[in-house]
Amino acid sequence: MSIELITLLYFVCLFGALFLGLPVTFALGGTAVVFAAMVEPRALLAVPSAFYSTPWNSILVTVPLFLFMGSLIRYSGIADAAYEAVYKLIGHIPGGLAIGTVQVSTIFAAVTGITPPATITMGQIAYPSMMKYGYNRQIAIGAIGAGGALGALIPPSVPFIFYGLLANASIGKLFLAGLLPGLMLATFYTIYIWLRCKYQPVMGPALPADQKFSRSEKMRSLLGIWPFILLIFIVLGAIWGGIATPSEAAAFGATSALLINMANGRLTLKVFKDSLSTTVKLTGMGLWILIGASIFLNIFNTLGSQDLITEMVLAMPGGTTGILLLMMLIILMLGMVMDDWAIIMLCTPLFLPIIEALNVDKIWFGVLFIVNIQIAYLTPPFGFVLFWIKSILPKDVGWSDVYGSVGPFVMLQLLGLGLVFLFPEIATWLPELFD
Amino acid sequence: QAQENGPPDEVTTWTIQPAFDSSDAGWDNGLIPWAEAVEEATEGTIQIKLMPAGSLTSGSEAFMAAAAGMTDGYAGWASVYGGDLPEGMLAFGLAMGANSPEEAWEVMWGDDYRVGDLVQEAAHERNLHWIGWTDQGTNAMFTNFPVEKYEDLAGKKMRAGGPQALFHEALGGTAVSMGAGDIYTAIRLGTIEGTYWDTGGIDDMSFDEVVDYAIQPGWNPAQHQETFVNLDAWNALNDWQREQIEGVFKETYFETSQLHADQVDIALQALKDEGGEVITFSEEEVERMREFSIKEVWPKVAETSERNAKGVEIFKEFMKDKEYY
Amino acid sequence: MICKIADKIINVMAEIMGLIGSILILYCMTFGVTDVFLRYALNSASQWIGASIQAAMVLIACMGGAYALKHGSFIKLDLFYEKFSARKKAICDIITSTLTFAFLGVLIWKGVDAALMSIKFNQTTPTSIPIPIYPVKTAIPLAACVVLLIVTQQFMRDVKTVVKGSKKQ
Ligand code: NA
Ligand code: NA
Repeated sequence: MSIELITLLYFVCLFGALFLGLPVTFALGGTAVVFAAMVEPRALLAVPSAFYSTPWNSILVTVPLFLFMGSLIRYSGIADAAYEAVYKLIGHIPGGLAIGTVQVSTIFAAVTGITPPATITMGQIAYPSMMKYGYNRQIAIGAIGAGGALGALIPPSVPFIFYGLLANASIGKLFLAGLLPGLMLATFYTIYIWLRCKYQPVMGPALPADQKFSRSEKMRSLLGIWPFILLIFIVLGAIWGGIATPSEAAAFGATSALLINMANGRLTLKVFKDSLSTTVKLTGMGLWILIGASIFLNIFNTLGSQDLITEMVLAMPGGTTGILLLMMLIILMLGMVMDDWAIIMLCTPLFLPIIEALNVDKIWFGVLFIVNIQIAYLTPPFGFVLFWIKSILPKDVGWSDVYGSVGPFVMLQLLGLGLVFLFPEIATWLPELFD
Repeated sequence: QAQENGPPDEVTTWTIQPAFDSSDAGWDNGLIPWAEAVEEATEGTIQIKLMPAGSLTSGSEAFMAAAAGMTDGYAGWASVYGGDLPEGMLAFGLAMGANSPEEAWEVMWGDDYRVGDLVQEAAHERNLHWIGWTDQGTNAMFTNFPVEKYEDLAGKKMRAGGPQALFHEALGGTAVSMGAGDIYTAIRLGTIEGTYWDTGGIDDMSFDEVVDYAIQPGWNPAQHQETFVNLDAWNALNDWQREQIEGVFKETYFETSQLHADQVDIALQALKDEGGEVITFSEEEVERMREFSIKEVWPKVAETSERNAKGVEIFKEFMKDKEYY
Repeated sequence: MICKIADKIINVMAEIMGLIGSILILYCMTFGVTDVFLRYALNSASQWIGASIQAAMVLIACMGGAYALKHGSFIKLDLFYEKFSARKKAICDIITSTLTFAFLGVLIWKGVDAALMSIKFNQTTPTSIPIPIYPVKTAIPLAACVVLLIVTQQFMRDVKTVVKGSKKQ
């Protein structure tokens, strides 16, 4: 059998199994094992080897710790306090509650590594409130979804950690590089909501006149967000201040979240157990996909397929820009049918040899990648954030409402992606500044 | 086997995955010249396929993969595989041990010493055969504080692993372990005050941009990298092939060691170009550091296995014969 | 009856593994903080905390895998799958499970080899304080066995669904 045919069958087997509903990790690992057994049986030892060496990585411990921190925050009540502040501060401007949702999600993104905590929490707090004040459903859902998706781009970020790990790029630099694009998108959302509601007040009416608050009430509500600020300070401050590695900062973050919950009297045994249980589940799932992806890739190399793919892509017309656009397109398409963990773990090792051959900045490419992943969160049919939204919104919200609400936000994300593509400085300026 | 005294009809392909990837100084300066020499000496009856770390298995698992026959060979440093083969520390080079490739060769293979036999015995026990060696030059401290005497390292937080950590901890420093990819940022931010590294490799890692001082000759003036092949793969060759490969061991050792020495000069120049300073210890300081190493660090290596205890004793003999100690 | 007992045992095992996973996460958190404290307050970073946290991560993968699978947290691409009938889903599961069994089978078979090798050579971490690696390598095939049990349990359920479905017709 020719290497071209083997490579083709390798992917056919993987995608066939995926579409038939096999868990991602088994599809990756199973495909690898079957092909190794046929072509190069001695490579099968890569299976336990990857299971051992993949999690044996000092940076990966950030995954359970940021997950644990995020879970705890969800139960802590500090998101309620933050939303309360937003409501009092900007509720009286058109679209203020939706804008506030984006703002709180942005802050949330700065203390969690993934998207579900912000999405779920804001879905529970902000959605009913926006409905109460006559906001249009689409603006409300869109703001929650797009805001939640920021969790991956604004540091800390588990997707960046996975990318950095696979690409052998500095996690600290990636975190810095994701910050401006993340804030830029948050600004786009804010401007969009404000303009839309200003000219189309039915989308998000200003709060009624009796809902105005005095300056002191506003200030007091602002004080309610101190735990958020403290956590951001501890986690990002520790990393960027050079006090601790990202792993240690994550340990600090989780410990602090635990203490903040305790101080707020929110740390019941149930919250503690639920947070840990969620963390074990998500970490277990994520590590198994990461392991499956390593094995898939090891066997891919054993078969000799990486050389084939690299050669094929490098032979593409259109030069570096053409190849990068092709990669973006592949991620976007995969994003419609796959979730973030799987895409990052499948594409990073495939793309990286090409990126290195082209001499493209790995940090910049990482940001493009994660902005793309963010879009994937919101694009139907398989949008990670959409699933979370659907699962927590009232039953009368149908899939069509959810799908229909993300359109403008996906457009803004694409605009952001285009800007980072055309002006790499948006991503690279901050990490270079710190250098 | 009709052609026992010459090249066989069949071509053997060896897949070798080292602990490092193609961006490492050891790739172009050590592994490639060696592989080419082997291919040439065996008249093309052995073809070597080099795979970067991580492509078949992770760098940390690569040693065991070669031992188990998943790959045909491995190259790396005792700081990576020391836990799998403690005797590798002898081949890697002891703290302030041999001063040059010539000295290292003498203590390892000279008739009076033959420490290499100990390493080879241990490798055979793990189903491996030691087949290639290269002196990568100094393994040194790269710091953002000046070091005039070795005591200046006491209390400093440095990234150090394996034998480096043994040395750094012995003189009262704090050895921090972290992934290679995070060292640059950690030094920049001040999480650590420097790192131990092979001098020839600092420009690949861009350390020249973040450190102010390179301390020469470091803690190990002749740090080595080793290549092993799976013993079954080795035994599957005919006598002629084995002789040919053994025949290039010495010449590739000195040839690649020279390449690495040139690379060390290039790397130090890059550091100076970035405004860094190279601090070279005086004779007396080197002597003091050597005495300290033999007294405080070598016994820690000797503790790790019986063969290492024997090897350290031979090393001491050698140092006495050279009047270093 | 035997099936029910087996089911129960598997469930309990998965829960215990979840609990161990939780403890390991708390370990990583506590000792991650401790390491920084040692480094700054006492100026002596520990040489074993880092490696032990890495070992804990491998064990978390062992424990968390079984727990996540048991709780249905393994991500799958249910774009088309979601729309299938229960019977069709079961048939799909049975077909694709060959890959799962192949994967877990190799993980156990080669995992035992790797563990035995690690024991034989007394493999340790290359840190200045060496930590033995064989306990972690031994845990891998063991955890894979539990995952295999859970997969088998689901497989049996799928077989039942298919058989029942065909009886109805
Ligand atoms: Na985040
Ligand atoms: Na999507």
